[in-house]
Amino acid sequence: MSSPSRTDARPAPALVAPTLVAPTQLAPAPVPARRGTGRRIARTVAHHAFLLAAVAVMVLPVLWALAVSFKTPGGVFDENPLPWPATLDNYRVATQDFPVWRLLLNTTVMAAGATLLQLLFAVPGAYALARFPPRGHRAVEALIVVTLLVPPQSLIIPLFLMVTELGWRNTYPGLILPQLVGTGLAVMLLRDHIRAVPATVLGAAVLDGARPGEALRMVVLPLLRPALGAVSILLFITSWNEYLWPSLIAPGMEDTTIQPGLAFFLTQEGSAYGPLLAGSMLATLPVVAAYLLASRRVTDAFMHSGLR
Amino acid sequence: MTHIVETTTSGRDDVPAPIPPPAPRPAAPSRPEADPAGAAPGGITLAGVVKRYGTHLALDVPRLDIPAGSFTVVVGPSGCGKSTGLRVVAGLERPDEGQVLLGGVDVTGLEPGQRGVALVFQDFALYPHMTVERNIDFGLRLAARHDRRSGPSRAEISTRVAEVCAMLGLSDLRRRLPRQLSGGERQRVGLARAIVRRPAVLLLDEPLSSLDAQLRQRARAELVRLHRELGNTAVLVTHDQLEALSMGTNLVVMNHGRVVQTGPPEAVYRYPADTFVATFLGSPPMNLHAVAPTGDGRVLAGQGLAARLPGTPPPEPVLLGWRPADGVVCAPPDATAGDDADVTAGGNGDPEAPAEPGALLRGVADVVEFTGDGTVVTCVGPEGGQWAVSIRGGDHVPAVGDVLWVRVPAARVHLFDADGGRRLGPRTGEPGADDADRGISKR
Repeated sequence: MSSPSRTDARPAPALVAPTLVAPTQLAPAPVPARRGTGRRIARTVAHHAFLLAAVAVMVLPVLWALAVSFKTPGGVFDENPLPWPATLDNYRVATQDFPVWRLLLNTTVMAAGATLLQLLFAVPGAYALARFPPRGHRAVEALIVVTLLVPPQSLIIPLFLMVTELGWRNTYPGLILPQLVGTGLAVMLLRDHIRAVPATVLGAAVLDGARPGEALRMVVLPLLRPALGAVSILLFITSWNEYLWPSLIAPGMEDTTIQPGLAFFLTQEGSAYGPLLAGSMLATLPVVAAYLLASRRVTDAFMHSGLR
Repeated sequence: MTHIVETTTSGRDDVPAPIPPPAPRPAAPSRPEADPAGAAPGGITLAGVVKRYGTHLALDVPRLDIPAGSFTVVVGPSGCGKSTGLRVVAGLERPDEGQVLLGGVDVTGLEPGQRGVALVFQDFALYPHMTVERNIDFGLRLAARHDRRSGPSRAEISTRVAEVCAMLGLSDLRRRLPRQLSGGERQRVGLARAIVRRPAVLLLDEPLSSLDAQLRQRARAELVRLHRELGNTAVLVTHDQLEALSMGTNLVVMNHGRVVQTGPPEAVYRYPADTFVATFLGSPPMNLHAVAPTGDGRVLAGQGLAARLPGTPPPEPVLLGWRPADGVVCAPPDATAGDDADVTAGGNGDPEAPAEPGALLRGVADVVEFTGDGTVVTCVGPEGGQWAVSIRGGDHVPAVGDVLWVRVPAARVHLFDADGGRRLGPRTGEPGADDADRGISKR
């Protein structure tokens, strides 16, 4: 798609398919100047318009929820996008008449606990698979992937029965331990990252006399920090957003987590949308903060692993 | 440089006698069971070592002894098993069969860290998250952790690191991270990390190949000097034949996972065990010609080439080799026969049997390459065969299209088996004629 017959070769669809040829690729072609420039501008505009539309689709509902969380009860259903007259009443209700802090604490403990425990198992597992692949490690890896393909809902009943037998309903272990079912994802992600550590660097560590555990702690883990950050965020967010499991195993007002807890605003006497959305915003904030802190690392890590 | 210089000069003084004509397969039976060189601390012996990757035979060494204290260069084309061999010695690879002995002790089952071996990697393999200082003392700190009683004390670690840094000019870079260093500095850190543990054996896996040409020359000299100061056994793996010839006191040539020839570089260069070694070492490589006995059986003749050699020439066709630097451009053998152009066109294309011992060749200059010190002329024989001759600076340089007559002293003619390419006889020329004609020069 180079220079001379460029304008003839691609006639109309410039506005429709904006991405395939980057505008810069066209830049060095000298003539015909005016037509080329106009086309390029149109292309860029179309490109950005498309992206803006995509962003809007994703962001508008969140913004709308944010706006509603500041509206008065009467204004919840009106069409004004701006919360006017604005009020903080919803937040007052959510935080005072409702144990939102307690629920946030529960959720934090659960998500952090699940994340840490999964990493605790995933790091050595991934290291072993990457560095000391046992005989038949392909079968092991296939099994791990299979655990990721099992729909979580299909495990609900056995897990529920087990946790009940153990007397862990309405407890943190009951909330956390069953989530370790998903550790396979962390294992596979980390295995790829550990494989990316140059073999010569690990060889150097071995020659320096490092035992496998020392090589892991002193060489692999420091090099894995970005990946660990990314994987932890991913695990944390997944666990934070868990709805079904906490609502079954810890349904009590004080014992559950924030996601099922929000449902308490929807009662038979009526639905308190303002406080509900205020609670939602409070539930979202920690996750957004965590993501922003590590977003660069998350994207980097996924770029490297080629996953997702 | 003493090591190098020593061997070179000693080699030069007593060339006829002590450089043993290397046997085609130096590995096996002539060696006694317990080799004194391999048993000394720092000596390396591979006995029956075989390493396969799937069905590919990466390494097959019936026996190889690397003398303690030597600077041994292992050379071969890529994929010849030289790096695998190094990794087997280091312990990063387990051989499928055979034993690795270091200083006479079987270390085949030992962890790499316990072998007293250090390795400098091709990409240096520095720990990216540690400073230069931490990179260097990592092994020592681990040793201290593992054995608090006899491991190095903190004070000892810091003296040794300081010592090594001073030796390699790294003292000002100790707080830097590897990514803040140039290629040459990284190489020195890799080296420092290896020698700070005072290994009996220092392994170097193409440590110079990632440096640019300018730096490589300096680094080569530094390595040789370092080896002299340390006095341990150094094994350097390279595919660069110039490094192979210039750096080591002992040369191991490998091909297809096997050791083809071992010995002092000069001996290997001058008496290559087969056509592979002959053409792999030396630039431009050795010229090879198919020749067959003619006439009274005293003369070997090939296309544009005739040779009269002392002794009884082989009765069947062989390969005749000579190094481009050993050829001397000379006048046409029979000046009265006419001018050069006539000879080129003439039906009698082949040189006649030279009266005196040696080989005589005729060809037309095809490519003339100026190399600085001299000129390399690639010539085409009468029926298309190519050969090269080096002309030293100052001598007359032929133009493209000129007819060249080249004579090679009998002592510099090599004969090889036509089938296997193995060397025929320890040497071809009569002893003594060697040094008289041109003096020994590697280049």
